[in-house]
Amino acid sequence: MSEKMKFNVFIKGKNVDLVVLDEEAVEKTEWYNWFNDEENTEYMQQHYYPNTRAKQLAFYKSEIENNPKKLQVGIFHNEDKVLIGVISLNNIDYLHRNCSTGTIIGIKKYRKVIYFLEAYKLLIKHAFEQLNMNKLSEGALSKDIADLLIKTLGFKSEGVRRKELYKNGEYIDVHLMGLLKEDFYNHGCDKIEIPPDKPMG
Amino acid sequence: MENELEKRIRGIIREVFEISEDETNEEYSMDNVDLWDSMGHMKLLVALEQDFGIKFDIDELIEMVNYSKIKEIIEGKTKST
Repeated sequence: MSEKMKFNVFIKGKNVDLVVLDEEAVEKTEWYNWFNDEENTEYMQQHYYPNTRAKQLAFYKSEIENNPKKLQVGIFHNEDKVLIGVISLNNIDYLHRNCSTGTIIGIKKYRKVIYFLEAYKLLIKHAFEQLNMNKLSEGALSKDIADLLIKTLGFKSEGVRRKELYKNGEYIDVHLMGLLKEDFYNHGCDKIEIPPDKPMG
Repeated sequence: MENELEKRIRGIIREVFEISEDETNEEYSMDNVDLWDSMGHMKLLVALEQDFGIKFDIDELIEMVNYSKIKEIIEGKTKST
């Protein structure tokens, strides 16, 4: 279990903040171990080889630190003070103003829609409003995740790459989606109200 | 005594989350159903939409985190159609 620790907040949210990842995050959290969990990675291109803290540190140094084409931040539960996941903009193209996205919520009890949506909304707004991106792309191995992004954040389906990846003993489809800046704002997705995490109903 | 609507909703929840009928839980929720994570949530909502022939909006999708809230929203929608 990740111990409670302090992170520098990059983008403040209601239930979760997006926080700066550093070497200490690799050393003191279970971040690396999320990718060893079969359930966590069921719909990810992960869990082909074991991950270690040393590998995660090497990944951090080569792919995250000082990499202008990738922005990866932690998803930090601001009440429980726990790093629950990471989310990223990948392959940032500053000419065509597009990038792809990726996320993992690594601790099972925090794998709730409101955390997922809040983290996505915060990062999408940052991509459009600060980095001047025009389009975000996503490829989901799960139709349910594709449905969630389409229904809530304004993503549009851009087709299916049939039997694109080998996972869990079979070739599986990748559901492609794209989010244009105009779609996000015209459909009011920037104004989705994320409720505070408390018992509802 | 459960009415038909309640039975249908509970039946769909049990089917989506692979809960056996003898596992009685009056208040299924994200906090006490093992498979009810973000992906499970979408599976459930799609199943409910198909079964009842209705559509949920974003606010409803976010609010529907337990049986009571789901029932309240579906009751409201099916009364008005």
